[in-house]
Amino acid sequence: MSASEPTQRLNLEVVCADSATEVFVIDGEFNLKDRGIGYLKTALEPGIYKVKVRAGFETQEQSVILRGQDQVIRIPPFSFVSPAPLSGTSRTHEFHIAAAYDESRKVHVSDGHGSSIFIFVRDWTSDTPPAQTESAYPNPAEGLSLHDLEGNEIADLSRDGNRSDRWEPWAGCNVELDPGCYLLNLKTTGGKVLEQTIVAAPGWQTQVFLLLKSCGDQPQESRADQPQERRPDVHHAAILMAPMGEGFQSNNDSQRLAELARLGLANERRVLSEDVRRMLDGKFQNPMLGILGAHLLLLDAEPDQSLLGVVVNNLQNLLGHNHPDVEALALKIHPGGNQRFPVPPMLRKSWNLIVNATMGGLDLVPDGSLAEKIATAVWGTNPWLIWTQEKASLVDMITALKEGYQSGKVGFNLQSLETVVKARVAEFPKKRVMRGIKKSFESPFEAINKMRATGELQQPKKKVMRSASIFAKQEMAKVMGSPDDETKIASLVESFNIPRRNLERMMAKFNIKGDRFGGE
Amino acid sequence: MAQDDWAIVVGIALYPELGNLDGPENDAQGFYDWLVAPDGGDVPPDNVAFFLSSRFPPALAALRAEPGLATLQVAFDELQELAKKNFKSGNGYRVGRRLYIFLSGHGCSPSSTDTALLAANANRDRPGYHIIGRLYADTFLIANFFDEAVLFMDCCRENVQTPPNIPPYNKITGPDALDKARCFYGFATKWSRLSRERKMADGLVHGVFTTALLAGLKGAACDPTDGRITSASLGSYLYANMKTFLSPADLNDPEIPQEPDLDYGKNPQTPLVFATVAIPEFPVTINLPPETAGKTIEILDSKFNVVESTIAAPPQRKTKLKRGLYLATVLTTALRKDFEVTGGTEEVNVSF
Repeated sequence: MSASEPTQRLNLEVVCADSATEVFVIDGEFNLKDRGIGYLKTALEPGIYKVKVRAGFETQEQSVILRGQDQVIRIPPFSFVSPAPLSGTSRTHEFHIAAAYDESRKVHVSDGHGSSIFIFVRDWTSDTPPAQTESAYPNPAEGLSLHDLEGNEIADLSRDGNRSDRWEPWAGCNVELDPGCYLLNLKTTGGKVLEQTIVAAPGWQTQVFLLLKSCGDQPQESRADQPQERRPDVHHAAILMAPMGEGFQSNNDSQRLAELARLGLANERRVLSEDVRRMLDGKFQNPMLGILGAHLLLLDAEPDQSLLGVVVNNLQNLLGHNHPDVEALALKIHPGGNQRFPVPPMLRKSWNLIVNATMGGLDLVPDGSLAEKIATAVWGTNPWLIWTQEKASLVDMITALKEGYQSGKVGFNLQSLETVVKARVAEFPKKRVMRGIKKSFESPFEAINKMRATGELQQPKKKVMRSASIFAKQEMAKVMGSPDDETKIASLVESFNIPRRNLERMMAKFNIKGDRFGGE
Repeated sequence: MAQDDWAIVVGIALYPELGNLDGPENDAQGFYDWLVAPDGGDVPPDNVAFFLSSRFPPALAALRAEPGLATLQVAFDELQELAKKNFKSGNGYRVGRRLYIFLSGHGCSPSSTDTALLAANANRDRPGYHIIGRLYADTFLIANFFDEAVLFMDCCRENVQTPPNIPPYNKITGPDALDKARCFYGFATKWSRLSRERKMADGLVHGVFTTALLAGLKGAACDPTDGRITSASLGSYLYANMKTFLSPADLNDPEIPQEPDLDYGKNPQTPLVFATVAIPEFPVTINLPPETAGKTIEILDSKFNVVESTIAAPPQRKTKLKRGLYLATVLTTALRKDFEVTGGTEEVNVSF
């Protein structure tokens, strides 16, 4: 064939074993020609193309010569990284699979009936052991514990359950419980406590899988000459669900799909293929896939409300009406419902739904509840909702800020919205602000300095600080804007990702109202 | 000269309480050099606010470290002042055609869509001292201070729970914000993940993303049909080539992204043009088995046009080709091999 012959289009078909695989077809000038999820059939001019596929964090590429006849490309399952020792994933040993299988079927701690939470944590460093292995490796569950909502410890994962301290150690613990919400705590090497909700649904086992990672929150000065400790990576946890008594199954396609859905959500990728949509439209039996799938559905520019309604209905049939993630999704179907969220959901996306639903004034997060307390202590973001267990309430923090500022003590150590204000107060006491104004006459743009020199542009005006409290308010106003209308309040709720009532209490404490500090 | 373009370029290498970095100053200097070069961005040097750690007195503690947030903020404020002055003069808010923002240093992700450069005075208790590049670029673009915004950020995007430092400007929506404003935003890494720096061919440490970015901007990313370096051609180059600048260890680590995170904005059909260059060609070696001696080798481009035809003389045929997908065939034999000239650092080696 020569280039001058009339071009007849040929079909390129890409079939992926994992339906949550993104497919891209790129031409010889590196232009994207078409894309799909799990499957793609596209008509192209004869030529050389590149097919790129992505699942989880991994990508693969292969070139395709489309000449004379249609082509079908089959993409085998990806060996993606999962903390769950699923068959066909990377970072998995056979003995991890066997241990997860065995331990998930035992009961190590009994604290109720009707549901269970299985936690399995393991280390993975390489496919094959090093030439010399240690006689005993550190306990991989160090720092992990399961608590009830009152904070009472139910299981210490470093102590309860079974474990192996050989190369690539693991620890597994299955806790039988009454259905409800529980808290998984991780004490990090830096002393911070990270916490998240784990829901135990009636008749279901919630399975939490964690891989170890080197800790990044040790004090800076301790890093140079000390090996970094490894602790469970709760941000990248795999959380699956299985009917009680079924245990963990490494070759379950539905669990593999749930893991790919989690990775898609973590990457904010729209990886909901047509066959998964069809599955969600039916009587699916994997609730975690349903929850993750519903959130993936909401990533669409125009989410299918009807399908979302079906998914939520199925989830409520499977899990009841007390699962905070399911009820958060239900807010998209019945925004004016009577849901209340005293306990935070498991997923950050679910939390966002709750927070956003408060924009219009819905009182969804009860005063004094755990959900209210954690609103300003959220740590990290998608996919799981994790918070730091620093128990200072919002009012405590603001009071501390005021008192601290008035007494000249400004060295707080809190990660929250107020940090900005406190830090700014600490950085710019009155004298320094005044010095800063003199310096600010010089622009980092030479062009602007020249405009000022010729009078084309005015010198900046001096601003006078009146008092410490005014300064603090101005700083707060700078952070929060001037929330004098519903649009601004909605915008602030979304920006800070805290429920409206938390925000209103904060504004009330600082007496921010009207357009007192805003405007030119 | 792009007299109408403005830029803010920041390279923060010294963080008294977060650990120093080796790459950001080299990266910012490299970007600045391209930016003001007549055959590069062609931006007047006077229109560039250029911040490097080494231009400030060293600080022992984060509290006094520069460039701090307030120092960086001034650059954005000055552009807003210019817009205000123009508006008061009855000329609308427009400051210029294009705003470049290049930010390199420690970073974090206050949310899945935000990437923040941590200022030198940030520490673990004050992650709120940061610049969220996208918010500033968007704010200025939506207000029509500029027709185009180009943002590059070579920093990590680790999840850090920190309140977003929102641009402190009144919201202005310009009349051309939706149908005219164009942007191209490039981030070194995907959300929640780390970026990488390493010693590169020039013996200096650079960010992997910036190295690929500068290679692309200097010509490797040009459209092979017309030599223009556009947001589209640069994007496809970065998607294909950033991984070629990673170390072998990082390449094998599935947690290290091999692609940048790019955003072409709402008007991607009219790509931004950064420069026009002579279309570069890249070295290709075709390894020839002995039985090909005396036979004709053809190299076809992605449309099956013959771009080179020669008589084989084993063991190798060395040539140069433009970036693209190709097919090498030995006529009268079954030998054929498709290959890609990525425009990356490594020479293309083709074996049948």
